[in-house]
Amino acid sequence: MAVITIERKVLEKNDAFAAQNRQTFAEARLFAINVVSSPGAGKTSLLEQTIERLRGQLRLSVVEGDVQTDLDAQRVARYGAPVVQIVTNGGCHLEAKLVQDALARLDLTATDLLVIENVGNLVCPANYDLGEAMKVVLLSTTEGDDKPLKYPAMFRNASVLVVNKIDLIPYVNCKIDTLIANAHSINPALRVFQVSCTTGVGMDDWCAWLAAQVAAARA
Amino acid sequence: MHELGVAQSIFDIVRAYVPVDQAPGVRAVRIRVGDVAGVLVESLEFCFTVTVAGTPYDKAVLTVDRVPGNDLQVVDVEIE
Repeated sequence: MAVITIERKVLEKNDAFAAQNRQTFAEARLFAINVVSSPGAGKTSLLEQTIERLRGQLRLSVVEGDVQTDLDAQRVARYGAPVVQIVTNGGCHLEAKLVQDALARLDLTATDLLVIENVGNLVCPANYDLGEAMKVVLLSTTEGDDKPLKYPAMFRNASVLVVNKIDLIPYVNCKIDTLIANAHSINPALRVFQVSCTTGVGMDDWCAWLAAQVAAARA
Repeated sequence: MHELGVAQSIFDIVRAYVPVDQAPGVRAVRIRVGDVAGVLVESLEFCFTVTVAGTPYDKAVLTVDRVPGNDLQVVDVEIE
């Protein structure tokens, strides 16, 4: 019986592509975020409202990931941002190579902020680095305040938590303080924004923070 | 949900280390899986048997070391 020692990361191929993407972003001096959430939390709505508010202030490009259809890319395109759709055909997450192929179809020299909207899924995207500066996890109040405890990997790997649909709090079984405390129990460093894409509340803070990150990336 | 892709990646790594003439002797592939690696071990074991079926490596089974954290590594291969 012989043993061959290997000690290699299973996802090393993905990590290698992610490192290349990160280099590409650094050379283009752009700020890239990987937006993750469960389906229906409002990733595309957040994107639409963000594009609208940052119009004329900075140049935003989008990579859309979906299991099927280019419906989200159509929505984003209506707001005037360059967008490339990745259809995973059942795949539960985006991988760095898919993003790299999509980047070839965007003008990164004319991009200040790149938003990668991942497939709606709080499980698998947590473990795939795409080369982004940070993961932004979006959670809506209608999903309940216990979500961070049920999907800890995603909240551990994210740097920012955006809580969406805060206008619905009076109507749903969600305590915002409990939600944020649960998230911070998993990851005390999480920066939290509270927004409603419907009423627009909180969007100015979120956009001001994004603009500051972009300025830092370009400096 | 993505265990088949993970199984394929493990198989790719094993093939890079074990030449095909030694493949029939491979008995075990030891991997290290973190508790928040996002991998369902039972599903991964099944996907791995499907991945190696019909190849010279089809006697290989996964041996899994569970660890804390998000590790996902191929540790070693046992060859008879």
